[in-house]
Amino acid sequence: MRSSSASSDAVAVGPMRRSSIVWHRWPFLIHCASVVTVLAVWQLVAAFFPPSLLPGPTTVLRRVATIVVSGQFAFHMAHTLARVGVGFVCAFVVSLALGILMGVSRTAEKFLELEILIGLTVPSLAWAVVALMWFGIREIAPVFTIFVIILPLLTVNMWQGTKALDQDVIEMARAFRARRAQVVREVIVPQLVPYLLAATRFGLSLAWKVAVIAEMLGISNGIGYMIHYAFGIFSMEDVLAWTISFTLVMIVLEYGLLNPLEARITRWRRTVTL
Amino acid sequence: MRIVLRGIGKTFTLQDGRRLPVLRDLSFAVDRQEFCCLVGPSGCGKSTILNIVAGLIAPDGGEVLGDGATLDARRARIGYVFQKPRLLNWRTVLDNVRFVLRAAGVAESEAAARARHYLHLVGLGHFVDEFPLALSGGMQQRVAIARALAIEPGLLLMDEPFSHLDELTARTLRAELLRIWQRARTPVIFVTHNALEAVYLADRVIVLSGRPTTLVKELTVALPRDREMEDPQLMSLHRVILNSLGVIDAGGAHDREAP
Repeated sequence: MRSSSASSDAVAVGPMRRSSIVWHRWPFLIHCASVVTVLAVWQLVAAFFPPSLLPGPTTVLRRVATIVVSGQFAFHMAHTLARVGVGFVCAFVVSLALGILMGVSRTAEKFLELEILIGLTVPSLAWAVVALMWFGIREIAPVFTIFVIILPLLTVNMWQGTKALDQDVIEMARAFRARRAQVVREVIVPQLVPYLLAATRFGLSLAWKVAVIAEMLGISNGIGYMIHYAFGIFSMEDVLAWTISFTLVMIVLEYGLLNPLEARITRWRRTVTL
Repeated sequence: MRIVLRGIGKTFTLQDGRRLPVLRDLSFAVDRQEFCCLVGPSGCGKSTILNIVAGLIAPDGGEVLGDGATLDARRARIGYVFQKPRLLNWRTVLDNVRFVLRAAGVAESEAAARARHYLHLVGLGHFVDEFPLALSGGMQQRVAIARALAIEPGLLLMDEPFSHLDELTARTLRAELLRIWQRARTPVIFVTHNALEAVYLADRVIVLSGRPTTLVKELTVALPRDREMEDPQLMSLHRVILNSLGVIDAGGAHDREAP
């Protein structure tokens, strides 16, 4: 979470403003240089190994192009996305209720604290196996796995967000006779939003990884299944191609969608003190 | 509106179960168009009095009357300015004022214009679209004052609104508060621990002390409104208050309140 205070902003923004524009461009160039370096090192190292162990970047990227163009990637990606989507939304809703309850009631907090802690510790693979044994080879197995693994993580965020609510402002709203609905909508929810966003980012990034693991067990489509399939035919080229294209989509979602959204919603924090 | 507090009592129960009597059988009145200051040392239950009048906490005994009838805090329009601005930092300055107008049931069509009017009145006409964190502490408190005035209250409660500001800013805001207040002359209950501030602002000063709080002294400040903080007459009234609180003997040697 960002926790910038007004006073530190005032110090930082004034004199550094002009130079920050320059720095704004440099990271992009540095990122590019970094990617090129990694590809070059990869190419270099690949020259010393047989392609079955480490194919070169050009081979893998050509393979990426093939699975994307053929529509295979979109098909499996859609299945993985759907599982992540359903599991995530369910966990989000339940965690919102649990987290707010824990933030408001000390009894609920004490009652659920231990379960949350245990939930955070159980390995993903263990849940995936349990889900498979409970539900068999059905859609609900990976969805349940995603749900149950990200639930404690999301709940912790909602819980902390509720505890951090500014009671003074809520009292102000009561003093001015705001109705309960107005207080919730205009005072409480906006304060929770940064926590909901943080929860979304943590939750989604974990959900992708869990989805892939869950799909390796028993499911017959999705990115995880394809990586597992590539492993079955011992094709390193395919393993890398599926992993890389999947990762690229995640990066686009994270930096193209979630980051700008968060910046927009929390823009009131980044202000210059007059 | 004429406000009467009659026999108000309040005891808080602490975390460890001990009972802390804060107010016992406290009575006083605030007239129509009167600016009334409550002065007393920190922790003597001044804020509790305001919260009871505002209907935020219920007294254990006694009653609050508005024009002779039991004051219904849900109906009576009460403007409240707190020690800290307590703004919605995620809303613009204008929307902060509109927030309370919506709560007060003012039509949306009228609210924006009214919010602008009161923000202009406190000198923030050019800052309506800023976010609060972009403003200085003094400007944030101006927003809080505009917010309380905008509902066009029948009673204005102010809880040490200038105590967090530097003295120069506080002086400016005090003068502006009086300038604005004189237009509508809404009754004000203004809580402060600064005795000089009290005599500068008030028509009448009520001095409170101890726990449970008792009324130590009441004095009327019958000076015209163009008061100067350094006016010797104010200074002597100021000294009377400090005396009644047992802070100084005569010469003001321990006077820590004066700027």
